[in-house]
Amino acid sequence: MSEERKTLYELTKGIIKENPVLVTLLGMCPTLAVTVLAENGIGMGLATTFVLVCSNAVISLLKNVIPKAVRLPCFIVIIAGFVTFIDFIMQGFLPELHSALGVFLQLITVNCIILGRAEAFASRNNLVRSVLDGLGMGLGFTLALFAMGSLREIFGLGSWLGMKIPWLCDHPMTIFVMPAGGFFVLGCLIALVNKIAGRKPPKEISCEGCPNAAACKGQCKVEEGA
Amino acid sequence: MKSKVMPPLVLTLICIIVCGLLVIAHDAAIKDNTGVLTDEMKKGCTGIFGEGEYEMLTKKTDKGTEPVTFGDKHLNSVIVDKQNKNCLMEITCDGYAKDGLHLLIGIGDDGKIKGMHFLSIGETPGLGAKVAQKEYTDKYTGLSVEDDIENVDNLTAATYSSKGLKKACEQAINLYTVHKGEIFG
Repeated sequence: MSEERKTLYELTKGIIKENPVLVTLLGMCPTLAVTVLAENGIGMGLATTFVLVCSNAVISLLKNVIPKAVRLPCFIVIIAGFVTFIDFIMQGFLPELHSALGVFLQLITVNCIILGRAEAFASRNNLVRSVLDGLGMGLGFTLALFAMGSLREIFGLGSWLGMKIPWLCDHPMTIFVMPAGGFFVLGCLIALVNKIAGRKPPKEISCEGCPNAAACKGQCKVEEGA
Repeated sequence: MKSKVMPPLVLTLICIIVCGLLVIAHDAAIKDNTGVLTDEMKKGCTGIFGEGEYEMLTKKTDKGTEPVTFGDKHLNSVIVDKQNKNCLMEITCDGYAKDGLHLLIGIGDDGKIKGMHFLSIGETPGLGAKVAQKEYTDKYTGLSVEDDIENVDNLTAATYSSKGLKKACEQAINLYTVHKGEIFG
C-alpha cells in the first residue's frame, strides 16, 4: 500500500470497517444512553471527536517524553483536560445540549475508544496519522450515534431533529426510546454493518480472534481434547 | 535515579500544565450571569403573566452575588414583578431522572399557581416528559397552599415525573406563603 493510501486508510477505517461502536463495540454506555434524540447523538459524537483528535495529537507529540511507567495516568490527565475544556465550552455556549448530555459528557474521559486509540495508535504513530485516526474514529462514532438517535427518535417519538413526521407522531412506538429499543436498534445496525462489510462468523473460533486468548493460552483446547 | 524521578516529574508537569490551561478556558467560557434572566426565563415570565418588569432577587455574600433561595436546595432563584405583585419560583426537582424537572412556577398575589414554564426537562421523551404538556400543567393552575395537590391525578406511565411535579408545586407555594414579605419587601 502506498504512503498516501495508507494515510487515507487511517481516516476512512473508523467509518465502517473498524467503526468503534458497530464493529469493535466500544463506548456502549454513551451510545445507548444519549441516543434518544438524533441531536443528542450529533452533540455527543462531535464532543467525542474533538477529544479524540486533540488527545491523539498531544499524545502523539509527547510519546517520546512520557515515561512508560506513567503513560496511562498521563493519557488520562490529557484526555480529562480536553473533556473538561469541552464541558466548559458547552456549559457556556450550549447549555441545553450540556444539560441533555448530562453526566455522559464528563464520562467521555473514561470512554474506551479514546483511551484505546491513545494506547494502541497515538502513542506509536506520528502526528498526522494520529490526528487522521482520531478524526476517522470520531466520525465513525458520530455517524453511529446519529443513525441510532435518528431511528430511535423517528420510531419512538415520531419526529426527526425536532420536525414532526406525519402519522408516526400520532402513533409513536415508545419502546424505541426506552433501553430495550436502544439495544434493538444497536443490534439491527450491527447486523447491517456486518452485511455491508461482508463479515461472516468464523466456522471455528481460534485463539486469534478470542478475547480471552492472553489469559487462557490455549488451555481450553487442551481441556476440550481431554 | 533518573528512572525513579522522571515518571512522577513528567506526570506532575502534565497535571500542572493541564490545570493552568483549564483555568484560562474556564475564565474565557463561563461568565458570571448571576441575576441575569435568560431568554427562556423571560419567555416563561411573559408566557405566564404577560409583559412586566421582571427581576431576579439576589443577595450579596462573601462569595459574591448569589440568587435568593431561602436556604432551600430545590429553589434556584426567585423572579418578581414588584409592580404587579407577581412571583415566579425557579425550581429543580427529581422526577424519574435526577434533577429531571427544571421549571418556573408562577404564583399570583393571591398565593395561587397561575401557570408554569419548563426551562428544561430530563425525563424520558414520550413518557415522563409528557408532564410538561399544557393539558397536564393546567390541572395545577389555581391551586394554593390550602388545596391538596396530591389530589391531582398522576399521568399514566409518568408516575415519578408527576410526583416530582407535585413536589415542585408544593414547595413553590409553601415557600411563597412563608417568605411573601421578604419577596416583595
